[in-house]
Amino acid sequence: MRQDCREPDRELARGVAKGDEVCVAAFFSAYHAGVYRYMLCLTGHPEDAEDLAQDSLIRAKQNIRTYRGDAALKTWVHRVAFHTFTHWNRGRRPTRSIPDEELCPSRSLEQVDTTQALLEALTRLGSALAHPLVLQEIGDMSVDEIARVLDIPTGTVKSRLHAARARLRQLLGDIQE
Amino acid sequence: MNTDELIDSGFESLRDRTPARDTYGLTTELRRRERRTRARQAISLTVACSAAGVVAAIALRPISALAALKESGRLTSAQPFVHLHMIGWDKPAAPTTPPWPAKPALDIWRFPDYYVRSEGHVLCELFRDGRTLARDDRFPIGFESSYDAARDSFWRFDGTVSLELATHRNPPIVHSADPIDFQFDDTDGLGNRTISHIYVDPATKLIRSAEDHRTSPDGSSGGGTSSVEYPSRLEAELGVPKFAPRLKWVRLSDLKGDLKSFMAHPEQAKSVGGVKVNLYAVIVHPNVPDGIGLDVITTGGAGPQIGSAHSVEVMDQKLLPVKKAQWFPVFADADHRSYGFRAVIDGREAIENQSEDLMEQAPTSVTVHVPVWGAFHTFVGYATFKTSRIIYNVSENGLEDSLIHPRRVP
Repeated sequence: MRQDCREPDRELARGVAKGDEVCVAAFFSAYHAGVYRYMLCLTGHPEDAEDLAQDSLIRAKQNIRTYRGDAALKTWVHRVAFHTFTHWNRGRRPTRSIPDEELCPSRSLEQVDTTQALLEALTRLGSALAHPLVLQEIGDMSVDEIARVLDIPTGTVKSRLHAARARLRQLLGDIQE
Repeated sequence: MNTDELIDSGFESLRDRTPARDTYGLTTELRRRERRTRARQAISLTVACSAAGVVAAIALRPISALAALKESGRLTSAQPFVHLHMIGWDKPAAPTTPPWPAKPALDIWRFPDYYVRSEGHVLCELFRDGRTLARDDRFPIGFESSYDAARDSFWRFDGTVSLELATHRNPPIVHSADPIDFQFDDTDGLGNRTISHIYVDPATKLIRSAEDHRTSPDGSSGGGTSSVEYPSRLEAELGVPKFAPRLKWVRLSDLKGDLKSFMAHPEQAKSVGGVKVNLYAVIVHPNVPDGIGLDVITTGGAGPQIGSAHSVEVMDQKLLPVKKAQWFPVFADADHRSYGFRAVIDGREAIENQSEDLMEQAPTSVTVHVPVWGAFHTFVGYATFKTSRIIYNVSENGLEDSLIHPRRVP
């Protein structure tokens, strides 16, 4: 049953592998925004997130032949994005925080503050805790899917999610105070 | 707002965020990277280790530009050779007493827009009374000779002359139906004059010739025919066309100091995005088919990039797009650190844009925009060098016999 559910994913992957322009466009369209948001939460920087999302999707496209259909294509793409971020994060320099106007110019000040505060807190959370939380909240993934993306046991995912929320509350509490 | 509400509100806001770049931008970037990947794959890296495992020799073997062009069917070549097959005779008229004028003085080719470098020989026979008195097949075009034949003698010449029409109008020569006033004076001192019109047959694209024989004032006449074979056999044999700079440049090997010492130190150094790039020299290869090769010798963060981003300015006149650029191990020091890239600019475009200095007189300065790559092959920008340190490679045996202007010797 699950295998049948993934048939559209496999079909799309085959089209991308063949270089079918329609499939490539559909592939990018399906996952670009999600991967961008994932990267935005991890980097806290829109430009870095744009670059990383682009790198992730291009890398995913170039390696699409390795997708076997064992997991959902979305999970596989996020795993590529996870590796892309990890590679990038190793050698990156400290970056500036996001200015309010870059974050969401059309939103209310309260929303701007909320988003900025959350992004700052996420970047201070540490990768180990931030990844599961962001994948759950932004990627709308189950614990199993997160475990596949991060290649860690589901129990570890659960404990990290718990720890991430606790740490996030602590960080945002400090900011609010 | 408590902390949990803050978290939920923040995530909700983030879920609405969308990237500024769209799918089209991603696709474009993907294509650009795929082009770059293909370019890199064109460079095969061969690493051979010695038996002792101590010495490693690294050779970069770029795919031959020539082979690629031939495969693509774009090998048009500049085709500078015109073979003029001359059969004719020239009868000197009285007086026939010494001193005899030079015969046949084909060295006085006059081409308003061309200069000629001739190769080949003409079989010259001196006839008198039906007999061959002298024969010389070593007479090259351009020879000067005198003879002491008696009256009624004449020269008969039969041979193939290779004329190298090195001109900035070449190769458009094959695209023009306009006659080229390709005249030579038979200056036998008697007023004989032959004017040959060489033109391009619009139907066949072959060069044809027609002659206009003039009779000398004293009634003597010269005559003959000439036909032009084009594209020439010699050109096919040589494989690649030649452009010979008619310059005051001298051979590198004639200078004090050899090529190695000439290249020992960079001429310029620039830093782009924290990456230092050295420029040593630019080597101009006028004989690269379908264009002009420029080897830009650099060390540092320079790397290959295919595309239109490269450009070369010759004599500050024109920005010429680079059709092809590739790593090229032009010079390698003991550590194999000195590499450059070869950029092939469109020779025809160079010509049509009146950058004839590159073709005829060689450039006195070239500006190159060298792509600079940082860590992880990250493109950081272009280093722009304007240099007069140019080697003009007209040698077929490496660079040792290449030309360089004495003024440019460091």
